[in-house]
Amino acid sequence: MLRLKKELLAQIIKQCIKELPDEACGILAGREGVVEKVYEMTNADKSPASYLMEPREQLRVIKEIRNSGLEMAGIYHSHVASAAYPSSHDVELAFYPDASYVIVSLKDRDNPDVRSFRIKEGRILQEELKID
Amino acid sequence: MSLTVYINGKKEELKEPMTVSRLLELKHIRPEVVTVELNERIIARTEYQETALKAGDRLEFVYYMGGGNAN
Repeated sequence: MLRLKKELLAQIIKQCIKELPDEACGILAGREGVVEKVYEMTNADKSPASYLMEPREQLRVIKEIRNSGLEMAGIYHSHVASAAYPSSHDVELAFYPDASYVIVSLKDRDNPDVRSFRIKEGRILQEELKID
Repeated sequence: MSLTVYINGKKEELKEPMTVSRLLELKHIRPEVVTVELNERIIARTEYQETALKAGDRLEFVYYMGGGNAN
């Protein structure tokens, strides 16, 4: 289960809408599955069909998370016109089995659909996303 | 001869001198999906085989974070 405060969820959705038509992405930092901070990241692909974080920015954020005593709880990105479900490309590039993979679907932009998954060895498991 | 390095902030004892390439192999990390930073400098994949680790080196490995709806 991943727990996310509604303010942080609102931040993520706002970013995803702001970055349209491209996909947005970011890192969730927290403790024991409770997200405490959202890091909005640059989509180096600048594409409506894919995202890729920039390695220097990734390294800076990962160290900052560690130095603040938190862990990388998850990775999020948007699907601008498809469902909130991992694509084959998402699965192929899921290298953190202990992290939550959160997908924001903007297929219906007035009602974004947000879901969280674990992706382990190519297997997709949806997990509960609790909004506090 | 062992040497101490720091990997993702954690102290690790390597049993023998080795290159970045060998370390990735021992940790079962595919070089094509990871960015390696050595002492605050990102090193190119072409350098992994020739870069020998020294005592006190600080390494960071981050896997690519990407994906999206491209099928």
